[in-house]
Amino acid sequence: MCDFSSLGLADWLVKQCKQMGINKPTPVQEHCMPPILDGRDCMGCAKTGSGKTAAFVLPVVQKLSEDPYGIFCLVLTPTRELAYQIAEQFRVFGKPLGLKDCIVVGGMDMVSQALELSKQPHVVVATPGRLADHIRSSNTFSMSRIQFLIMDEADRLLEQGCTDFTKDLETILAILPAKRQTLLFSATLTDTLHDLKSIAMNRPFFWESKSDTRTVEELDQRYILTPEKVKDAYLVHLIQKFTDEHDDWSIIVFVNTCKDCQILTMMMREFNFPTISLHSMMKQKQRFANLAMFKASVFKLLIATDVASRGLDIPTVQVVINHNTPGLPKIYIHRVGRTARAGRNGVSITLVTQYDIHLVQSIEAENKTKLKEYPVVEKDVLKILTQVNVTRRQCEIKLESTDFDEKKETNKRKQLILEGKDPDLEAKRKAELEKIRSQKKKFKQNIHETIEKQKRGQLKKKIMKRKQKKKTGQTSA
Amino acid sequence: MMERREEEEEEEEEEERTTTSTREEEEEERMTTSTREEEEEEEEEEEEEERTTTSTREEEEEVSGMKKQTNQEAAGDRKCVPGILYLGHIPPRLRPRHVRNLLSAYGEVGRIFLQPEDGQVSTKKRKGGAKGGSRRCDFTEGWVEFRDKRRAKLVAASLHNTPMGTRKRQRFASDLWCIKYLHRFQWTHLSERLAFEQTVQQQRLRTEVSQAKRETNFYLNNVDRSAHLDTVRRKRQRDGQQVDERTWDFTQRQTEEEIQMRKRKKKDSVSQKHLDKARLIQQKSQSNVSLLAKIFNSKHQSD
Repeated sequence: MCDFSSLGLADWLVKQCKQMGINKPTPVQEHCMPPILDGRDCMGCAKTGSGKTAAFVLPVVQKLSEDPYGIFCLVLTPTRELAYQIAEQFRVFGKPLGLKDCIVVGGMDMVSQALELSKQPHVVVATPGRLADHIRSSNTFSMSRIQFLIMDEADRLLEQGCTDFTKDLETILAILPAKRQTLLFSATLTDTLHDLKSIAMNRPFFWESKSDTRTVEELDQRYILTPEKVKDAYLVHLIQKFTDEHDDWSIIVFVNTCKDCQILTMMMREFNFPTISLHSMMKQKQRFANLAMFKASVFKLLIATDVASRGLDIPTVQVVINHNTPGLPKIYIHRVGRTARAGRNGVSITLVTQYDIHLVQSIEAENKTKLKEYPVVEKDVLKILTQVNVTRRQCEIKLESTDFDEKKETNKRKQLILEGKDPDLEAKRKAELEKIRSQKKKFKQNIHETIEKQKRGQLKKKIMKRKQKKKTGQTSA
Repeated sequence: MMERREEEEEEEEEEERTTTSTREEEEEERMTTSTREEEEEEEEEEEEEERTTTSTREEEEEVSGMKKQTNQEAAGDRKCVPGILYLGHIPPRLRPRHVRNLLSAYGEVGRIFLQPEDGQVSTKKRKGGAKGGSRRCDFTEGWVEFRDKRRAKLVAASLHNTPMGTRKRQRFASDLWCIKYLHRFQWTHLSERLAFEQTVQQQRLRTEVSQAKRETNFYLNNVDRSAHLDTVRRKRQRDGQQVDERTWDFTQRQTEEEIQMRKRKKKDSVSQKHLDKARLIQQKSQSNVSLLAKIFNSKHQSD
C-alpha cells in the first residue's frame, strides 16, 4: 500500500494526519486525491464511513497552503449538523496553517454570519438555503475567486425530493467563477454519475468503489418482522436488551416523521432510558446541544429523523434501529451507515411490518444483500405490550396538548402570504373542494350500489323464471 | 321605618362582606409573611386557584344576594356589580400582591388571578437573566376583579397605556398598564373554562388509554388463539390429514420511485391539460441534469 506522501501531500500534512491517527489512505483517498491535486474535477462514490471527508479536506488544505487567500473554498452540505462536522475537520487539518473557517447555516444568527463572511475566511461551509439568502441580501463578500466548490452528499443536494435545493443552488452558482474545481462526494452517487458521464464536457475524474454490495461488510444487517401495532413494544424490548447487555453501546433509532420522533422520545423517557432526540422541528441550538450530548455519550439513545441519516460520524454508535422501513433504498444505505464506520463492527435492525415487505425486497435488490432475521422471544415482547401501548397513547395526548407543530403552521401561513394568497381563504377553498370531492364519491358509490341491486334483481328474476319453466316443463311432461 | 330597617340590613350585609374580604386578605398577608419568601408566590397562587375553584358557590350566593339588592335598590342608584379587568402585560417580578397594592388605590379589589408562565420558558429566562437563579416564575396575563363594575370601567379607561408607577423610581414605573374591561364577563367563566378543559383532557386520556388496552388485549387473545390453532393443525398433520396452507395478503407500501411513477401516469392519463404539468414533474423527478450541466459546463463555455 502506498502512503500519503506518495499521493503528493506535503510533509507537514502527512505529519498532521499521523497525529490524528491516520496512517494509511483509504481507497477513496488514494484514488481521488491525486486528480484533485492535479486540478481536475472529481466525483467520488464510496461506502459510508470510508473517509470521504478527509479525501477532499486534505487536498484543499494543501492547495490552500500554497496560496492562502480570501474565500478559497466553498463546501455545501444538505444538513446543518454535517456542516459543523466538516468545518471541524477543516479546523483540525488546517491548524498549522491558521486556517479560518466560517459556517453559514440556517437557524443561527444571520448578522454574525454575515460579519464573519465579510472577514474573508479561507473556507466557507454552508447549507444552500442560508447561503443563497446571504447572497440575495448582501454584497459584503465576494465568492468570485473561489477555487473549490465541494458538494458533500451531492445526490441529496441535487435530487428534487422533499426539500428542493435547486433554486438556492442556482443562486449560488450564479456568483461562483466559471474557472473552479468541482468535487462531488456521496455514498450513493451512482445514478448521478451515469447522468454526468453523458453531460460533462471537461472530463471530470470519476471514482467508484467496486464491490458487490453497497453496504459495509462489517455491518450485521438484520430485520424483525412484526405487526404494525406491536412495533413499539419490539423497539422497547430491543433497547432494553441492548442496554442491559452492553453499557457502552450507543443506539440510534431512525423514525419517519418529526412527530413520531417526539412521541417516541417522550415514551422512552417514560421508560427511563437516557434518550435524546434530533429532528428539524427543534430549535437549532437544541439540535446542536443534543447531538453534542449524544456524541459525548451522556445520553446513550438518540431518536432521530432522516436529518441525522447522512454524514454524521459518531464512533460509539453500535446499533442502528430503523423504526420504519425507508421508502428509498438510498436512505437505507445512509441510515445503516451511521454504524460500522471506519472498519468497526455494527448492527442494524430494521423493523418490518406486514405492509413493508415489498420495500424490504426492493432494498435488498438495490443493495445486493440479504437481511437476516433477528431472533426475538415473542413472549417477552407480549409481556410489555400493554404497558408500551398505553404509554404511547398517553404521550400522544400529552403532545397534542402542547403546540408542537405551531411553528410549521405559521411558516406555511407566511409562505402563503408571500405568494400573495390569503391563508384563511385558501383553507376554506380546500375544505370546500374536499367536500365536493366527498360528495362526488358518495354519489358514485350510490350509483354503483343501485346498479348492483338492479343486477341482482334481474338475476333473481331470471332464476325464478328458469325454475318456473322447469316446473311447467315437468308438469307438462 | 321598614325602609330604614332594610337599609340597615343592607349596610350590615355590606359590612359583613367587607369584613370577610378583609379577613381573607389578612389571612393572606399572614400567610405570606409567615411563609418563606420562595413559597410565597406559589402559595398565593394556590390560594388564588383554590378560590377560583371554590368561588363558584360563593359567587352564586353573591349573585343571588346581588339580585336581591338590585330589586331592593331599583329605586336607589347604588348597585354593586363586580366587574372584571384583563391585564395583557405582566412585567417580570410583578406578583399578585403588587397588583392588589397598585389597584386597590382606585377601588376595592376582589379576586386576582395571574396565569403563570410555561415551565420551559421560565427556566430558559432564568438561565440567561438573573444570576442568582431565583426560583420565582413570572406571569403572562391576568384577571382582576373589582367589587364595583363602574370603578372597573373607570380604571380601565384611565389607566390603560399609562405607567404603572406614579413616581419615577418606583419599581414598575417603566412598564405600562395594559388593561381591558371585559364586558359581561364573570369570574366563574374563568374558572369554569379551566375546570372544563381539565376534565375534558382527563376524560380523553381515560378513554384513549382504555381503548389502547382493549386493542392490545384483542391482539393478545388472537396470539393465544393462533397458538392453539397451530397445535391443532400440527396434530392433524401428524394424523395424515390434508392441511391447507393459510396465506395473507396485505397491500404493500410502495417505494418512492413507484409512487412518483404512479403519480406521473395518473397525471398523464387524466387529461391533455395536465400533460405539461406531468412533463414538468417528470423532469423534476429525474436527477437535475440541467443544473449538473450548468455546474460542469460553465467552465467549458467560458473557455
